[in-house]
Amino acid sequence: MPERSSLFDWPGFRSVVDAVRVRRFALLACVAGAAAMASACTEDFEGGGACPALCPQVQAPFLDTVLGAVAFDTTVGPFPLLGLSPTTMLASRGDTIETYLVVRFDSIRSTFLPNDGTTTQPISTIDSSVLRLTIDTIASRTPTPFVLELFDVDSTLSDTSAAVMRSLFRPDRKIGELSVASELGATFLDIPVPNAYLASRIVAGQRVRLGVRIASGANIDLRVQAFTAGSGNPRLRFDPATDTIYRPLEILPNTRVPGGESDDFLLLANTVYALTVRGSPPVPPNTIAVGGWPGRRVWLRFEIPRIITDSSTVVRAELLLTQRPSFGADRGDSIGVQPYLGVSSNAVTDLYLAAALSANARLAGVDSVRFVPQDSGQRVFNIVNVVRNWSALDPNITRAIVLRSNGEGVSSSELYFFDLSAPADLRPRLRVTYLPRSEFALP
Amino acid sequence: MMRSTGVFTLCPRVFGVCAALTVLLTVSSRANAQGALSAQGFGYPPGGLSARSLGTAGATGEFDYLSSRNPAAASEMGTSVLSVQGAPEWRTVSLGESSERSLLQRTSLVAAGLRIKRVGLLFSGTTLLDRSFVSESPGTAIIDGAVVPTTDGLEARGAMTEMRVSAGWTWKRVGVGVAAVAVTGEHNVVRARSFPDTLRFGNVLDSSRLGFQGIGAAVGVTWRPVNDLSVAASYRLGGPLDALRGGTTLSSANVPGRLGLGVLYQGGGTALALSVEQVSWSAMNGLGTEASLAQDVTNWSVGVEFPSGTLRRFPILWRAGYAQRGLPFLLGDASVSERGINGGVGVPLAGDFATLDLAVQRSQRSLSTGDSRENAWGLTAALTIRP
Repeated sequence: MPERSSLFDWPGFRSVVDAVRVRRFALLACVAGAAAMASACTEDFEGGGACPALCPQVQAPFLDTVLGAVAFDTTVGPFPLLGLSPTTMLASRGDTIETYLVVRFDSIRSTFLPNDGTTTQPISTIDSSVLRLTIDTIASRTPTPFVLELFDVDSTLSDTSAAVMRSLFRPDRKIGELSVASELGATFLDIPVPNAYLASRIVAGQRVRLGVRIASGANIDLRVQAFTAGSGNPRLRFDPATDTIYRPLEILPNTRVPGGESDDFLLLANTVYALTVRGSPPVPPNTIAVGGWPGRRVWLRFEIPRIITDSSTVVRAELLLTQRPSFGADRGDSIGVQPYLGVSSNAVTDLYLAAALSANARLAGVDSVRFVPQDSGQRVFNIVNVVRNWSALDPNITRAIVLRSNGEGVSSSELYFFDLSAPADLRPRLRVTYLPRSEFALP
Repeated sequence: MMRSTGVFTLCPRVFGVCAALTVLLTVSSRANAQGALSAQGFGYPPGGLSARSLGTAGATGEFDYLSSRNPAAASEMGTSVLSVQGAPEWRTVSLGESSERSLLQRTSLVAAGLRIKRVGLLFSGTTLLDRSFVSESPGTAIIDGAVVPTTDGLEARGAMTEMRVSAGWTWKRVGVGVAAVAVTGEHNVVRARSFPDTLRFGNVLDSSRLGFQGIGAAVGVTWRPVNDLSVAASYRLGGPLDALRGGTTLSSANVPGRLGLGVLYQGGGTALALSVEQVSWSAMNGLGTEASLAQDVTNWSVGVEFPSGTLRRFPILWRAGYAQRGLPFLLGDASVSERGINGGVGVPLAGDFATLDLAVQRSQRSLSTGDSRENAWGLTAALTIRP
């Protein structure tokens, strides 16, 4: 490089610069630059106080509206089918609800192993026979002492007919009873079964079908475990010999349904079930009903404008129902209502089936809401997570919500709401707050 | 001789630094900022300057072939060149008693060029407007007549890039150049609003993507009336500029025109430069909403570059400069101006084959109403290779 004069070439400046070992400094500068660039790749964010004054965009306002988005509503039932409920209801509620319990033992072993030995012996004489029922003592209502009556309900008549089954609960078929105090001392009740009756059935290889009811005059509501994976099932319990040194045998409920041997649900439904003698009254006009006995569900089909479901972000969606009083049993006790999601396609026209196929909306973060049957007024169900997901749902899936009582199958409490045939301000409606999608990328 | 060995046989230590910087400079940009004076409208204009020009605050930009200003400067290019440049910025925004700090990073320039006989051809991409920020602030929403608290967030990541193909050639003391200009890029914006009551309200999370395309042309001239003095002028003619989503044109405006003038005095290895430009940012009005209003600005800068010290017998160039300019987008009715003091160094890593240019910018941006100010430190690092 030819030496040329520089404006910064005065001696003082040169002496300072020359004192630096330029080569090392240059490399140091490179390293420093690399380090600075590397540190730049870590994010650093503090505050937010400069917004909204300096933030480049103004948020668009939300829009509120109340829509008549419920296009169809109806009440469907009964739920559950016969004994397809882990717990069932044995009740005698005066003029309102009355149910009997049927427990089937269609196959009973006829032999036993004395003292856990290896040689089986036929059962010929038995002792201490009881029908053991496991009771939910917290949910049961036993304000007064009561009597449980036991009946032999085995018959060659049609056992699928509720009328036939009810007719078998008559005095000449009564085989035992149990007096129970108002305060249940244990979680199970042992109803004595005549030893001779049971022994004769076992020896003859005949099935045993027992019916239980609460003697008239009481106002009792028992929650009986129908089937569980553990030890709560109803069972026949007896000593297989009069010698008390033998351990009692327990027979679990079982049944045979002609033509339904491979249908597990059918078998389960007919093994332990509640027989309805007197159920909830018919649903009044202009009304949809949740709960009751047998259980009812509300089916609501929605039609929401696509500008909301497809072109907006829904931030609030509330189903508004107007409750009207229900004066059935337990009218003053609150009952939970859980929204379920319709998951069936539009091809399913059987609404009972569609309601049965519904999925618990708790999976979508929708919780149950409790109401008191005898109350009235506007009720709100928060279904925002459901409505938000409808836009992503297959268009062939019906946009529907099923309202189901948390006490379905074990409680007769019932809630009434005005339906779509009611005056406009009482009908089911949907209150929506949404933010229409707009072009916000443009500053 | 080092000149004959090529860039891949440089001494290991220097090559290691180059490789590390290359990796760092070519990683995708990440940005994180918030409501800021420089983030209004379609964003902040880095200026299309190379690290070398940034060292002089842009004063030498009209004479720098790597900067997207004067296509006539491409005639000064050697046989070939490849350059990539990264520029992180540390920013502090003050509004009243509150202040916020943020960090963003840009890959602000990528260029490649070659000489064909007497014509220098340069392909370059520079950031025309950088719109990268994240903002989060408390807000409210009116729902059913009631005021509900919200947390509002807005995140934008994107930029408009000016792509240029420049051709410049020299005839005696005059250099002339032309450039075809294309503006491209996209903005990815995410809008979020969340409610403290998550059981009752669902959150809002929307995203939107915009694309841009525009064209323009630029011409430039350099003239050296005497040996130590050069003058330059350039003009960018803005063509149509469209904002697109998918294949749909959302809005249209024009690429901002620009007129620049520069004077360069070189004596004894030292260069003194002065640059003035006027940018017609108002041509972009209509591309965004009414809230995104742009103004025409006049910018000027002065700077100096001088050699001091050597590395492997090649001079190390030191730079300094001062600039004053206006930012294009208004905040309400108020304009934003920027003053900057810059410094830089050019280190010949491998003689003429590879150069590392570093520039440090100290910028102060202020609102015309005086309500807010923004201070920023910027570091620009560029690796330029001349194979």
